[in-house]
Amino acid sequence: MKLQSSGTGLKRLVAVLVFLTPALVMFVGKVFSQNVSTDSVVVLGYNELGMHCMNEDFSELAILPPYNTLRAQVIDRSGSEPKIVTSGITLKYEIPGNTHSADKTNFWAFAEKLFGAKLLPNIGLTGNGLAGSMMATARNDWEVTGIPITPLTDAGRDDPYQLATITAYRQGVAVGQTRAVVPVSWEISCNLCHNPPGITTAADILRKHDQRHGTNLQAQKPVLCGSCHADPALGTTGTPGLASLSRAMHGAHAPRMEQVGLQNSCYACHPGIRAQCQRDVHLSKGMTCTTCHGSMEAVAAPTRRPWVDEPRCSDCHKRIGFEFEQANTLYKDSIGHQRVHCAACHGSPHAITPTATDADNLQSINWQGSAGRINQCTVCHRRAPNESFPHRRND
Amino acid sequence: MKQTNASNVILVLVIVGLSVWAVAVNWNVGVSAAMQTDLFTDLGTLGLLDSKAYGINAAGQIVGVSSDLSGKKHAFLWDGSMRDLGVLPNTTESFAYAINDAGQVTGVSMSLGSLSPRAFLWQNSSMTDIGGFTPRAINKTGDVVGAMTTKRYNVDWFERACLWRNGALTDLGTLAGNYSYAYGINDAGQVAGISFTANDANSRAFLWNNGAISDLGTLGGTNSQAYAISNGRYIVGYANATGETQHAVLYTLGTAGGANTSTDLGTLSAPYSYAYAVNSKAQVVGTSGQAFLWQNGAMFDLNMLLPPNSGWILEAASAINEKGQIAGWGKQQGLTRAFLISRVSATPVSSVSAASYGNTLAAESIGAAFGDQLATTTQISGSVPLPTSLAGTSVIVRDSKGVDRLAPLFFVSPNQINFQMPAGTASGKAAFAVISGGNVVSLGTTTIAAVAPAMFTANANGSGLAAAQVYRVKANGAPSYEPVTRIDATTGQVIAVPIDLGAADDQVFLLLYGTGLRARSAVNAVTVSIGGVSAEVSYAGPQGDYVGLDQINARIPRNLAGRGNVTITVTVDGSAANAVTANIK
Repeated sequence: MKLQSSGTGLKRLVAVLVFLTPALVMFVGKVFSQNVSTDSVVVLGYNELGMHCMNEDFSELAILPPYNTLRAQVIDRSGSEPKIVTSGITLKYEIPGNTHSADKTNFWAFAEKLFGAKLLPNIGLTGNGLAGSMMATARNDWEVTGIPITPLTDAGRDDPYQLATITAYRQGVAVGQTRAVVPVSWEISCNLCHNPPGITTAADILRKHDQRHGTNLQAQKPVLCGSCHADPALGTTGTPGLASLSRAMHGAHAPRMEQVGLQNSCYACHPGIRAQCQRDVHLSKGMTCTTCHGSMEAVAAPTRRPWVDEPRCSDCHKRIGFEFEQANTLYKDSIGHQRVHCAACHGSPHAITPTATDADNLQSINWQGSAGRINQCTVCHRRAPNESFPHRRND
Repeated sequence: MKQTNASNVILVLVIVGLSVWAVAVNWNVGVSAAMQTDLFTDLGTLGLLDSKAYGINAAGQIVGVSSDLSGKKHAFLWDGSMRDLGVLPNTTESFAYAINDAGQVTGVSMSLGSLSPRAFLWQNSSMTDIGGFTPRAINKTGDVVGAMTTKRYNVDWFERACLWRNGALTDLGTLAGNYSYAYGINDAGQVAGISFTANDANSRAFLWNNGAISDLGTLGGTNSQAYAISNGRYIVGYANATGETQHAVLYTLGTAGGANTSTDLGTLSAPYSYAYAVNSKAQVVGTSGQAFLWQNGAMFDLNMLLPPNSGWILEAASAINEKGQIAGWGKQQGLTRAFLISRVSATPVSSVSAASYGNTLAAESIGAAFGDQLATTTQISGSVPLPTSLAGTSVIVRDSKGVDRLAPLFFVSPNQINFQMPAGTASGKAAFAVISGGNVVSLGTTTIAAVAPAMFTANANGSGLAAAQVYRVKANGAPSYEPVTRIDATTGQVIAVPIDLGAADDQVFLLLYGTGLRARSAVNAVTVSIGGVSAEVSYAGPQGDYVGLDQINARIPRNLAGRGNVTITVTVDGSAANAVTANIK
């Protein structure tokens, strides 16, 4: 079979592959009728990372707290042309199936020692809870940071892909709504290696750190790793001269991962063996974490700036006159089509649609009847424009 | 000055006979990797390291979830050992939430990120798909409740409380909001759960009964949630109190059209609490940072039932059956593991001073506890130091600082235990657990104060003639002891022996026996009034020969000669003891 280059031919090819390969069905998603959302305001929700990792137990050490970020872009489609809305509405978020966290992790018992924050139960480090209002940003979207969600639902199900509901209200009346994944997992499987009998995994980690680096962390529990090793994810600057947390972790563990025996060794530490957080369209192309991020040694390179030097879409996707993300801006923060955020249409990082998870596909299906990037003009436009699609922000 | 003599043995035997009891817990048994005592069982796992228990039935069978060797979550059934219930076809994980007395298990089987969870019913070793919803509870007739999805436009969007009965799935509706979740169903078919209100502004605990859904209200705040309903009248969950703090709540449904009531169950050391299950005896379990049991108005930290250095922290109790068997999960070496506690009596144990029957005790004072099934037999301690386990009964005291201690025991019997409040017990409210036969736990509370003076009486009921002696020193220095009471040969009653103050140069002292006063700040902080006349106190402190027994020596004023019956009042650091009497010739 020869690949055809024309759009029509490619569609046929996909159709054949879907028919022949049931496993691919999940990446195409369910196709519904055109009875899709007709809200007067389009709300598109996304997460800036595609997965937020957290510790479950903070009594001995902490890498990351419960801290999730939800973003949304709001587009008013009631006029002749769609308009991005940044004021005049109230944008509320909630996770209906997950309304409390204080009973699901001991974070609140140790938050003051670890983060210097006296927190009320179920309130996160930025003062936000599991429901509330999102704030307009200077990026033309809305955001709530520090949602202290855990992967454990109120029903007791450990679910890394829970759905938030984001609703736009105008003068108290709901005018648009979406559901978007608030990805979270505490699947940090240090215990795969740190599992000596008689002590906890965390105690073994601290003990080994003390033995190798002459520290006395065992006497300082609970320990925040980022307090010494700079961690941009937490905003900690660390101790001058010490490697960043990212470099220290990837560098120290790179030679040891083979013994873990995982097909994808990244999932030994990043969620995870179970969560498989790299779930997006690239997975269907056979791509793994290292395809984009490189090896652990590369991630640990001293010249690499953690959380800044990240893979770029344009490293692979090249099309003349087509902007895949903004210069000097990561995908998660980039905007395109008339200042619409990339993630609003394509999905969150690591969850670029169509995804292997139904939950991440839900938003697209709601707005246009099918999974995949939102590419139906009439999702936002009352009538499909005649001109060619302007993908760049200033087209 | 402190004098006493062998005759006090008789006195102490009277005291001990007055009130007594016991515990046989395996506290001193070494903790193995998978700890199991008669009282506490580590349920283990399916392969990897974690497990959580969510449901228990009358037979003590427990269901929950554990990771298998591949790291996937699988529903389990534990009935002495843990069994993997598997998953439904085309799904990768399962969670079991409830089991009824017939052994039917319900739960959900799904794949991560899927919006199409499948409900399962497991029975007779077979898992059956019963529809596209997420179950959470099952009653004796096999009715299952949970949450299903309903559509917005053409997409599964909202979750709604639902009832599965005989293959049909019914949407139970909401309290005007878009979302609702059913969490509990009792054998009468009443359903409890959570519903959002209009505009999804708040969540509220609801009761669904015969097609009608009603808001159970809050504790003064805006939100509430219900997680379980018992047979009978009880629903539990949490409700926001004033200030929006989240507290475990017990809703008691009104009878004969009466109003429902809600009770704030309070908290342990954490500023929040959540109740997950309740039985028909109003025994409530949940978490407040640590696993709790609430009953008879008091919340108990279940960790007090663990042996010291067990390596366990019980984080949440999630299920309780009618026997008082409790399932939940905790951390063991930092890993989450399911546990079973077997079993807690709903009948409270009350503990009082063995001398006065007052409700306040002091460290090292002699106490008496009363209840049911406190011991399997009657046994008196025959040695000093007193044992902390007698006839299989032990007493654990958790003080206001959260420190657990075993109480020394004088005597145990099925309905009464006499004990010494452990030394070092901090002032404040203390929890009290009696463990008998390894698996019957009675719980109660008591108040601890630095001093809790209580005087023993001759008839052992806390009032009347003092349990005392007279100590006389003649002018020539010759001492003697004299009784102040005797048994009337005719009536068999205790009667006074009048105290003869004797010659003008006799020194006559009244030796009063009590408990709970040895921690007095100073001897001069102890006052004794005899017949309204202040008596000089020359000693107040431990009696010295008998565990927990205290003694006060007071010189009897000579101007009391001829007063006959007198009332004796004692205060220690401003705290009054029970009044006792004597007769002065």
